[in-house]
Amino acid sequence: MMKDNLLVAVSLVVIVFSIGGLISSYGLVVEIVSPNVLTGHATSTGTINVTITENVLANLTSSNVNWGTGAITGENSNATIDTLGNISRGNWSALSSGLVIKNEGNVALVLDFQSNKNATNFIGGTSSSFKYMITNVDSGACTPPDGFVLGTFYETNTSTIQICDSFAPNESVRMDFELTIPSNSNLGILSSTITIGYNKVT
Amino acid sequence: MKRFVFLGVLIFLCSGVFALSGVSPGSYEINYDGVFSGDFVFEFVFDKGVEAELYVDGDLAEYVSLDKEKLIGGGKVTASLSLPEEVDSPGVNRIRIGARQISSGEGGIGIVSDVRGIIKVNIPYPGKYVELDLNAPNANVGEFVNLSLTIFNRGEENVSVDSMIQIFKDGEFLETIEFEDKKVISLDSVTLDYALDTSEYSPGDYTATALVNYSGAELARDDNPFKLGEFLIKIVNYTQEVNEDKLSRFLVEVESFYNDPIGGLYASLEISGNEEAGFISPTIKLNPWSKGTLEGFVDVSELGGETFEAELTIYYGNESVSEKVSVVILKGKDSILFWVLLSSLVILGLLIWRVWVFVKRTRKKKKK
Repeated sequence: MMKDNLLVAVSLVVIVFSIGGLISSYGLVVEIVSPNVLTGHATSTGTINVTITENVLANLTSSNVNWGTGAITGENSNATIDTLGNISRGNWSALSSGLVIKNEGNVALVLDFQSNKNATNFIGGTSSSFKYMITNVDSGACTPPDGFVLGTFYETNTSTIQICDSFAPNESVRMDFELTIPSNSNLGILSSTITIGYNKVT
Repeated sequence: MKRFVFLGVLIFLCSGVFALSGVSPGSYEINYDGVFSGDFVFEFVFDKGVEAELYVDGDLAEYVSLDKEKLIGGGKVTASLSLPEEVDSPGVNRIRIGARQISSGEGGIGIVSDVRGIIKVNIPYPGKYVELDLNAPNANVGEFVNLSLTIFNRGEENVSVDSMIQIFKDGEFLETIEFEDKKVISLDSVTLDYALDTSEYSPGDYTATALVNYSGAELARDDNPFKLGEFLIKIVNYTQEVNEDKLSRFLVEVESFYNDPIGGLYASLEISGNEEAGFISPTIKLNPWSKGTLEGFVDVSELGGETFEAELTIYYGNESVSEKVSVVILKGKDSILFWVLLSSLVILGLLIWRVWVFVKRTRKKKKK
């Protein structure tokens, strides 16, 4: 009986405090939502200034195009290998992926290309060839300069060649290579460096 | 002597760096009107640990110095430009602040990137000089072509410009759009916009020509070609020959003459007298003014003869375009081999028959 009375008393105290809290909360809410304090309705105009910085950014999304070790087969005088999956008269590993360059920035770019070696310096031998080709991965990604045709293999030299007058943001182009290796080419590990240059169209 | 060549050639392509690289901002632009001295900060981005050598080239490079020579994993570079009182290089000068990745030198063909920030310096020409930039984007017939003509005053003196844009189709003059006279102060520019209504135009290739007379005497000109499209697809090319006795790939090259993408495009090949051998291709999407290839397979084993006639139809939107095609059936190697063997057997049979006749006659003569 004593325990029941105690429980009733505690319950009454809890109820009184709850009602007090409720009244207090109501007062605060009324104060908050009173005019010029807080409302979902706009009471004046505001200006948001956003400055977006121009970013020149490019990603060479494919790398390590590597035909591995190979040789000219049979009695052939040369072999031709490319990054389109073709291996002719040789036993290198077939590759079907070239170098993909993506414009990751927010401005159009001028894109150029340079090799530090031509076919003679790179591969050597008789009638060797070291060619490159640019194609659009995304339609309209690259607007080439007059006289430069996308989808055509060109012989590499050591001059800087402009390949896109305008390379659109968030688009990709692909660069493929084709090598003709004669039977009297240089032996061992052959090396060359290709430089992909870019800046904002100005 | 048997010639046998074996080359152990290691060819590594792109064994160099594979990376993201860039610079921010991409460019600065200043107007030079006397002595100038200032700093330009470029923030280069390279992957962690990647080394890049810095360089300056282009116009006016001799007036620039950099605060460092090399970057590792990117960083800020300050280019200090100090131009003298007189610079004999009027027009737009572009100074390139570059960061070129250093090749790892491991052998093979390395790919390195060469990122460049630009400082564009506009130096006025003596007297009056105006350059134009006319932009005329492609559209579809009936839409507005938003012509935009920017007039740059590259001279030392302010000018008053009298501007117009003329529209031509195949060299034939169509109309002139005239603008109010404007004043352009030295090294400043103004842009004039006009929405060209093409509802009376036909599809095709056009040229917009801007003519700006400045200060009553000199004339500046800029041309910009543009296209007006229509909802039209044309068949450009298709497979002319197929191999007999097999499923043979059939390609159809198509071109869009529309200034918006066209989706849900597909081809149907109906072969006369044999509907089973034709195909309906999967759908593709063509971007504006672009070409694409549709692909299907013809069951040539169902067909006889040396050629077959068919109707090639391209369906797009609610439209279609058809063309009667004649396709050559190439005899396969097996067929050629069969005829060679048959011919050989016939010749052999004839020879055996002749020998048998000869032997028979010889025996008859001996018996006599």
